[in-house]
Amino acid sequence: MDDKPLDSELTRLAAEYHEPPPPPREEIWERIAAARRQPSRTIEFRRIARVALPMAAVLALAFAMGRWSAGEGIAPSDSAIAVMTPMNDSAGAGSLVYRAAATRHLQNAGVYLADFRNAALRDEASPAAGSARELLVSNRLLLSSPAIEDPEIRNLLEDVELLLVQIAQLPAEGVRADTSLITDGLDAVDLLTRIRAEVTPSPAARPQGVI
Amino acid sequence: MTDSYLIARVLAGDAAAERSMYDAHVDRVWRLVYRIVGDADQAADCVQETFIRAFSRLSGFRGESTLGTWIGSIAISTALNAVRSLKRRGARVVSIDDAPEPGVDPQGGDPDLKQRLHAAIDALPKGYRTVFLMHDVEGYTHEEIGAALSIASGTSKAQLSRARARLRSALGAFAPES
Repeated sequence: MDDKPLDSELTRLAAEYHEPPPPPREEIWERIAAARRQPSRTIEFRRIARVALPMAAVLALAFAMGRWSAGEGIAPSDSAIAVMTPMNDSAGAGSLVYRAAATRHLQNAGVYLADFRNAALRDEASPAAGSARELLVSNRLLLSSPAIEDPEIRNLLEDVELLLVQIAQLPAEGVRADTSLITDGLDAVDLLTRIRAEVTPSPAARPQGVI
Repeated sequence: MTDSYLIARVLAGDAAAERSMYDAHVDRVWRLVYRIVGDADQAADCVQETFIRAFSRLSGFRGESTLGTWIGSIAISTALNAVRSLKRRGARVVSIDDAPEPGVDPQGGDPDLKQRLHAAIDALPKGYRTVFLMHDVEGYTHEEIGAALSIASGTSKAQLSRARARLRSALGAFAPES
């Protein structure tokens, strides 16, 4: 191994590489102070709402279609689970709306997790943990919905949740050991392949003019 | 004022303590991020983001390294992300293939050792360049570099050796004898 320091002339010239001028201390401090005065909770709420509200709207639509399709056969006081039980062709529409929401969410989660895995393999910075938190909100909405029927979707959402929780808790500067554990977990359950299989419909499975 | 006292004051919401913490570390952070990004506006953005992240995550600081090293690790992560964004936009792409051949001056005049050295530093892989700049230019120890980059100090030493070897190789006969 070459442990010799560079020649003193090279060391002197290297010191001129991107030689820093004096820092604009006050200007930077003012920007930091202004940024810290921002109401970050509002920003965080808006970011979450941007993802969660459309998802909630889709779920609400699924519920509404389930109630509408159940018609007179189900009393208004019956549970939401009963509402989402397919009673006839129209009742299946509610399930399809839920499936559409779940598929879209799993597509987004799959892209994010693939980015995370690729960044970890290349030893680069992970994609923003904020995105993991946003996906976690959607994931929990879908998991807690009574409209969930497909056990494979439930298993996928539960596995996605475990990984998103770990990613959301990673420190900002990242810890390689933690990142490796997450990517190992991702590979151990073959999650990306299962997500791809779930979100890529076979031609026969495509809904025909229901939604 | 000790690190632990300063941290306690900042966590208690003492604005003067925040400013003290900033004043204590801003010069080193600025030098480090400027060496990496090479642009005053980008460096100012990185320093700003470094301290915002440091203040917001201070409650999670477990004292496994010094406060300065911990802030330095945030600064490096921020600066490397900034460089990556610049590269994505094509603003600062330097490849080893773009560096002039050793001993050949494309201008046909006197070779410029400084220019060639800087081009060779630009062409170093990200990890080598960061360790070289931190150790040989900014004077960090391998232990500090290891803590800041989450690598073993032995890895830091190995990367520095390889960085120096690549620089010597890139400069070829042009480099002065050591």
